[in-house]
Amino acid sequence: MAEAIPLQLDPKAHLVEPPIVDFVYLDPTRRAYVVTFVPEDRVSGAETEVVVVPENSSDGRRIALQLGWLASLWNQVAPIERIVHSGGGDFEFQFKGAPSRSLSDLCPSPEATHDAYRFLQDIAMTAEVAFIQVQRAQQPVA
Amino acid sequence: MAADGPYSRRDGETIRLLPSGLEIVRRKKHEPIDQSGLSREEWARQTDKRNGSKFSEAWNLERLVDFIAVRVTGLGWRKGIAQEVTIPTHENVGWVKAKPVRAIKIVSDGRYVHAYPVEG
Repeated sequence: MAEAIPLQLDPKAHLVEPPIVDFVYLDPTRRAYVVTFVPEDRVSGAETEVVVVPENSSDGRRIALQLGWLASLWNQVAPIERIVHSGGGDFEFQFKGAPSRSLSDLCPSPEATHDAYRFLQDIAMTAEVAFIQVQRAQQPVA
Repeated sequence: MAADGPYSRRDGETIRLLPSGLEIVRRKKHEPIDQSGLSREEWARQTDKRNGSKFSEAWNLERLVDFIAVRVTGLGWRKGIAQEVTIPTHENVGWVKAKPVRAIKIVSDGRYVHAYPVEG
């Protein structure tokens, strides 16, 4: 039987590749998820880009689902208020009315860490595709 | 350091609320780090976009927050509008992919504001 290899949570490690969630939260005023992300080089040369995803759009519902799954990794009833990229493979999770958690410090298990990266990657990819769509919509028609 | 100083804030928490309602947040991934003992390749990796460009030690949080507050207020930035500006300086403010740079990019997502070193 193969042995499980613990995931390296060193922030210096190359655990994540762009697109990476940089900062995400639900803005109640705009009723939208505001996602700052580190884009792939082929999408943008900038260090980060921002996209606003309406809460009730299909993309918004997808982000809500991923955030719910992320919160459940810590058995949190409180919803995630913000996610912040701390650099490398580390992220800070801020819960509404509950203490913040850092992925490197307090992830419950290697399996949960793997799942967390999967959910985070999904949010980042959703944001990047939404960003590309906005960019294309803003291009003048030839 | 005072207990309520900017360094007491966790990553992504608000350091200063501006009269406009915009909030300047702490972003640890752009804060100065010790580069002694790092190879150029490792230093380049530590300052790439996966890990975040890094400010020099001269740009502590107090100075950076004051800088952002003055600029954002002067530019009349308001809540609800995503905006960004790149401000050239006369000094090396930090590093991008191991290269010293002399410009600071301030980014607002419409509510939260932060800044990081960029190539001018």
